[in-house]
Amino acid sequence: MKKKWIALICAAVLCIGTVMMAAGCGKKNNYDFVVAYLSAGRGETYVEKLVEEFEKTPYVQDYLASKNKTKLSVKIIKGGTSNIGELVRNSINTGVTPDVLFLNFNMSGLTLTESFVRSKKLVDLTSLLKEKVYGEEKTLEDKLVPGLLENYTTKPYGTDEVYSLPAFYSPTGLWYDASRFYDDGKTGAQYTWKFTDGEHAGKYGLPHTWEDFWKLGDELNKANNNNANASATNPSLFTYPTAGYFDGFIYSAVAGMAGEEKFLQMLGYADNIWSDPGVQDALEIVVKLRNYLEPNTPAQANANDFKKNQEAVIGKIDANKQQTAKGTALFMPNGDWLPGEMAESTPTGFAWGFMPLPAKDADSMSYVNTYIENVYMHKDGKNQDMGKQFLLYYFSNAGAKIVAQQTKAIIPTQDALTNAAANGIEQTTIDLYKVYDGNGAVSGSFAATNTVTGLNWNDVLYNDLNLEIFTSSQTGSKSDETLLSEWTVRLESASDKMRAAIIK
Amino acid sequence: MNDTMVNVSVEEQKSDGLQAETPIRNKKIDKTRVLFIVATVVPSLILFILFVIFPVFSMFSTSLQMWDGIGDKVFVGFDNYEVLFKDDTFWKAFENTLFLIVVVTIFTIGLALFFAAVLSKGKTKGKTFFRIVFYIPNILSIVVISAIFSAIYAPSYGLIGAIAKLFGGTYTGWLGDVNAVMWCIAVAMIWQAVGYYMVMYIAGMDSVPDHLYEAADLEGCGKMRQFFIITVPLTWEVIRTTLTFFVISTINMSFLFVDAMTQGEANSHVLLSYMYKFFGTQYGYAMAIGTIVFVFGYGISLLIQFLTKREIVQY
Repeated sequence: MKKKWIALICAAVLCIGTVMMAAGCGKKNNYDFVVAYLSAGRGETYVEKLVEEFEKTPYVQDYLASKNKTKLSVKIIKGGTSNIGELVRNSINTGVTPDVLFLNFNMSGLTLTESFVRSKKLVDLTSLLKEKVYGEEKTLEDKLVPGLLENYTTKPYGTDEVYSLPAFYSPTGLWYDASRFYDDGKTGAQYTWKFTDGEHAGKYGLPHTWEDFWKLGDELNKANNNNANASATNPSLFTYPTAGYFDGFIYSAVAGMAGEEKFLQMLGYADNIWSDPGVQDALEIVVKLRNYLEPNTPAQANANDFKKNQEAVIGKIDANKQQTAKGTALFMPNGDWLPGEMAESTPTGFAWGFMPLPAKDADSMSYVNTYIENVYMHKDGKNQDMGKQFLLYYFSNAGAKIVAQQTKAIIPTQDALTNAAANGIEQTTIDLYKVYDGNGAVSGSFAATNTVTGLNWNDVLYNDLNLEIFTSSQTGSKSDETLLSEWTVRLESASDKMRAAIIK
Repeated sequence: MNDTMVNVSVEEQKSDGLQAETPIRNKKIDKTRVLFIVATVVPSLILFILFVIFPVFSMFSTSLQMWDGIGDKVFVGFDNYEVLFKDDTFWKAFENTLFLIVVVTIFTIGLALFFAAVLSKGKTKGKTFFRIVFYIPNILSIVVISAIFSAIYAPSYGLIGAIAKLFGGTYTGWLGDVNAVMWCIAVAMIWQAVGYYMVMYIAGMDSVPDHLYEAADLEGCGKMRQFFIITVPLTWEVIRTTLTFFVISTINMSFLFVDAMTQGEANSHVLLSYMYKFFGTQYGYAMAIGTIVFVFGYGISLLIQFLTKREIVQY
């Protein structure tokens, strides 16, 4: 009898549990304001602080008075690249759609933003550009750094309507150990920037053109006995953290070798663009790099070991952070987050160097790729008006100051760059943006498409390079020409499928 | 065993029958009994349908759709499968999964049986010590094991690189070598699993009576022959069960090892890691791979059950 009761109680518990779970599914959005943001990279606090200060603005105070409330009910969804997608998706599926989202395009494994673009869920922000930012006379359009609105992230459908704004922008290019190079005094188009004023006593000259670059590589290879020995005393020319870092590299290379017009055609998946002679020159640069590669790179080019490749440029340190050995590679493609990311394994007094990709020839311009992080609004957000006011606050001087203090980063307004030092941004970061002086700038994001089953465009363009181009056990005895033509075939075939799926 | 069970149930029925005084009372008992059974079974049945049957059905139906997790689901028939069967990476992942099932199973079961035989019937000194040592990898999490092996294989600071350097050789990392990467993962998986299966086989072997071995000894039968004519047949049911269990767990475990060691670099994707790659972007395609894994997993278990069926030897 006792057993029967226990069994019945267990059954009842199961029933109640099931009913409660079912009840939990029908949750409603009772928040005044919902924001989602990617907390990896830019820190865990800046949106919270922005919301806190935004709450003090007259707009929010009026809103609270109309609702007879004293405090905004805010939900903040945040997470890293691995889980933010799931968190936002789950929140939407339970009826709580974020009003404002700080999320990027083109992130590996996270295509949430692309999903919203596909299903036309982004709010048209074109009219917002004409509105004055919080507390100032300037309109949002006037505040923004010129040129950042002309790409497929801000105008995903290739029309004049703006659906997303640049929340952060940073140059990506080639990074190196400044102490290994001597100062050749060149400026202007071949501007070379150093984080700290290094000793300029290095033995290598900085390559300003691709010709210089390959010449330096050949010298290193010769000294390294054709690159066969990983423990060689001379460095290899090049390494990369993972193949994913070739995105900006390819964009800058195409703009530099084929010109900006071809670059834009490429972003629109133009027919036969990959066979264009200029674009082929750019792709050839990537393939050729395999002959100048730090030998351990391909085996470490994954999410677990990519920092080992980054350390190949920095060198080795002891327990007191003193450099015990110079790096085994000279250059790597990366972004402005690198010094912070590698702070733990960077020796004391290390001077980072940063340059755009080498130019086509001495008369041509070098190109810097700008990595744009986006902010946009969702159509199903409950409080769109507040979302828009929040964006106007974000791009104001007040917003820029909070972001600078919380993230040590500069938002893409002209005033933010002017006020950067006053807002507490380190001089080294401010200097980084000087790379735009005299160099061309591009921003790479491809036209929005519908899903093409089984195809990941980023894989074909750069993620697969680690295997298809740089892993010698895979490439065998294939020549550079064969690898280039095979890659071109893969690109053309995938590009055709993507072009057919462009959202119109 | 079966006989005893039958006896018990017959006795139960008898005692129930004795309690029943009249046919009417019998009916009443039956009614409460049925009600009780329904009350206890229905909730679990609902949960079983909700959490087992429904997800499996949902997987099949999603595999016929195009869906990115948020937008509308579009029915596309067998399009996902059509693309999948032409997808080279999928076939490579299938090949890698089969490779791991075959290699890891053969080595793990072989080594586990060998160590179990040595440690259960042999006169090895420090038996308990070795049993513990062999079992330790099983206590460690897969992530820790992957980290240990990644460190061993690492080109810049790993053990293998250091040994190669000692002899003047070069080493640029086997995890980046398409010909070596699956063997590297297999070694880590074997190291992890041997101890667990060894303990299971020891338990099976300990129940084989000593007199059989003594008799074999008297008749001049060698240890190797004893293993094949006494130990293996008498522990066959244990081996058979663990084999099915092991093949299924290899399909699952391979995902964890690949994810923690290579993330599919150097052509090392297995079916589940390749499926996971499409999560959040192409659920329909991912579920088509999931369906293949489901059918393959069931198929291979049935095949093993069929191929390993023997007459049960008892003593």
